Amino acid sequence: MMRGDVANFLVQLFFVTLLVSFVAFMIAGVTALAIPIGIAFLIALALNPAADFLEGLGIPRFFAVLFVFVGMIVGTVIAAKLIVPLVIGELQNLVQQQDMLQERAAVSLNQLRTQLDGVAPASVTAGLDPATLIPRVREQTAAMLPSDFSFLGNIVTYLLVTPIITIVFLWQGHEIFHRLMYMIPNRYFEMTILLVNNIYSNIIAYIRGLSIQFAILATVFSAGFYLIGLPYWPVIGILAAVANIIPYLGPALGAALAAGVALLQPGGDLIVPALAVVGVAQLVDNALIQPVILARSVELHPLIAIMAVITMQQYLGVIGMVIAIPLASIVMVSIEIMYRQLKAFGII
Amino acid sequence: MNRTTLWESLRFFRKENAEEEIMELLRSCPVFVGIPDRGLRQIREMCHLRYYKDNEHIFRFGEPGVGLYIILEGQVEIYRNEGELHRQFTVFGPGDFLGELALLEDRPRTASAASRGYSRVMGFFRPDLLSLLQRNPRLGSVIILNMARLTARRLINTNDELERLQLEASRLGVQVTPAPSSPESLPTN
Repeated sequence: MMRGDVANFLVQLFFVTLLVSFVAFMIAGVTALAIPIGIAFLIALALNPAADFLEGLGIPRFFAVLFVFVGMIVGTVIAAKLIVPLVIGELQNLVQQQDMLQERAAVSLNQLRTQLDGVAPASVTAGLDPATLIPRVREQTAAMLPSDFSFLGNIVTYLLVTPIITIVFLWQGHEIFHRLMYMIPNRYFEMTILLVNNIYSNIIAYIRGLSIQFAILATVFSAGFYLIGLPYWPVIGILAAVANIIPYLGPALGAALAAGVALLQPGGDLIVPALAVVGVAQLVDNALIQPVILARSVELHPLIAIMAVITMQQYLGVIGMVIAIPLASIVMVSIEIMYRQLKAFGII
Repeated sequence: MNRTTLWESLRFFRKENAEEEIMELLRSCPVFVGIPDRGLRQIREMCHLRYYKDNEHIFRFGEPGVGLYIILEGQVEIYRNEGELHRQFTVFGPGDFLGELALLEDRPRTASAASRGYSRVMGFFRPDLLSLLQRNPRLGSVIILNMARLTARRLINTNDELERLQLEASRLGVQVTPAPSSPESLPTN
């Protein structure tokens, strides 16, 4: 009996070692492809409901996947053709006019300093000196932006590899999942099935909610800024909607951005309308989007949200700040579900 | 134990036979009645094949119910431990299915299921059914209809049994107060 147990244990150990070595070998090999695989996985997650829907209409899975994929590419190309030239044009304007805008900012700051002279402490007026303040703001803005884009790797490789992996995930996703489930020990099998499906449906709901939130806010911001005649309205609108993802700080960043651009306009009459647009967008966000669309999404504790934003900002700058909350939400919802299931199955 | 011919020993033929055996069991399972072979093949692809050693649990009492199992080989005991008492409800064999109510409702298992000897079972789970309802609603609705039929049949049986017991009780002069909900005939969900 004892000898049998030892033999069993050795066989199991050998098998697990073999499996772990194989997985480690594969991971080491595909490290270079980690980013395209990750992107493909997220795209496949987002497109899977559409492929399922088409399959439900009687279209074979392969063609449903192909149809959805081609639709996504066509949609992206059309959107890019409509939006990208507009955004690039506005950005070029911004870059070309930066000297002029800098001069205007210096004039505004000098006016402010004159008004504050004798009212505010000398240290405050000294801090508003355009000669020191403007270069410092430029430096800090540059520091927040990612200086090293090497993590993006070879764009051409990604453009080739990502679509292929996305199609494989969409087409064979169920089979891949089944193969992986085959390796789960019996004791944890049912729990893993529930865990994976709960996490999957929550992530899908969250990504869907976030996308709708972004689309609505970008439209409200851009339309509002366009109506009040704020220059660079598409860029400011999209940036304000992106910034809104960052909790607490995001809306303030969006307002500061709009107010900053409005301040640089001759006369500075656009500040109040620009802030009103930000206010309306916040009203839409808090009264409509948050309770109706994101109602079932995970609620992050403010402390966790701020910690996530700070941590990700250190790694990836502004991009890190933007992706921090979705990432933290996905991790939190996964941990919550895992805890619930482990409890329910009496494992912890 | 089983004597096989040379051809049957070859993987291709063996696999084909095993697949045909699984298809046959799916055809005879009341949950999948009325589904054409093409649909059954799709369901087969969604099912998870699992192997259990002697005394190994397929599911335990009180754990969340995930779905149904069809026994392909071996025997599975359905039981509940009530304190020191080991209460065996039934022992299922090849072709039987268990845990089907968990396909419809997310509630804890009302009994444990453990393999008696080596067994091979096939699991079809609630997430698979929900996915099937999205990917192939016609097929999914046949399963739902079959489940509704099974549940209705059980309800009728339970009502008949209740009626019989009430008659028996009144014949013996015992006052019976109806339970708030109907008990299940077999706690296998």
